[in-house]
Amino acid sequence: MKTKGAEKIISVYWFAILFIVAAAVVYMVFSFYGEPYDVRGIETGLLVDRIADCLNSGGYINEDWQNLDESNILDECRLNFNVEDTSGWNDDQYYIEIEISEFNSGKILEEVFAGNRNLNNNCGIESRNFPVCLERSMYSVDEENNQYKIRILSVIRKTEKNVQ
Amino acid sequence: MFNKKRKVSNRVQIGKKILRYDSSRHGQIGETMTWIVATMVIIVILALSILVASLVGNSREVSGQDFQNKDVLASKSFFSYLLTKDSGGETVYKQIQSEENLNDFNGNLGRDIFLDFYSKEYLDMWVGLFFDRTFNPSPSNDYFGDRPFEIRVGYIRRNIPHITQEVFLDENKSLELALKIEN
Repeated sequence: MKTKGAEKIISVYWFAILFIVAAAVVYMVFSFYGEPYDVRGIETGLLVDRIADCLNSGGYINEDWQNLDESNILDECRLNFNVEDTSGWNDDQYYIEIEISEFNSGKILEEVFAGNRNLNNNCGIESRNFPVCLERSMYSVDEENNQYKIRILSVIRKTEKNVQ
Repeated sequence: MFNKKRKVSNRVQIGKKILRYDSSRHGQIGETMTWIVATMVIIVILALSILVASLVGNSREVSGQDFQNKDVLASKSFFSYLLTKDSGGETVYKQIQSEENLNDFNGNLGRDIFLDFYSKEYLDMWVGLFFDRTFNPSPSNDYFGDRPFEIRVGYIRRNIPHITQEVFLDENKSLELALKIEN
């Protein structure tokens, strides 16, 4: 039969174990959910898809592609590079680059840039703390059967929100 | 006389008590060991859980491929490819519809477009004419080879995950672009 003293010790032990388990669960939850989701990979993909939609419709290249430039590309493609006012961001978290060239010769016909050009310098660096870059290509034709290669590069920084 | 008897019985009682304490000490040590082992097991399980949670929590990168069931750029390239005309002014779509196979012009053009643009992004790809898929699930052509998106073990067929874009020529025939995303 257990004495009263032993029962007290066991109660203290149980409370200690309970506290350890609770603390461990809290720590696990924080370590699992505390890290933000890095969705920049998806975001760059969506940006490229949006630009592709804007440049190619129904299989044909946009008729006004020769008039696209830095000043109108965002309006033409209905893009908005404004970002939330956080971590000293100054609407400089995005960069896009579009290059339209002849499919057969590779001669560059048009280059359009928009956003923060400095972000482009960090492409190729494999680290979570650097901007995420995505470069993809697309084939297109016009009504006169001219063939084009369209290269689209999208870069997104937003490191503070996606990586801790 | 009476006192003497009392003294003897006391001694016996004291002796019994000593004996009782001795036998319970072994039990106490065993019980303590059980508690210590149980505590160690709890701590080890918690430590492992914390380790797993922090390892899984660190890799929280959500990539586009996790949800990918279509490729906008590849689809657009495919439609533009079908609208491309040869020197006679006939579109690739019409050529394949009439010849029911790829020819030199559209086969090589398809290779130039899709292998050049998407071979680094996908494990494999196939472009071609898909006839009755129940009886011919793995068609082939000279430019893209066999359609490598189905494994057959006996009568069991298993589809390999891939993205497709299809344009139907009629009820049974379709032109397909298939991009393999997993082995």
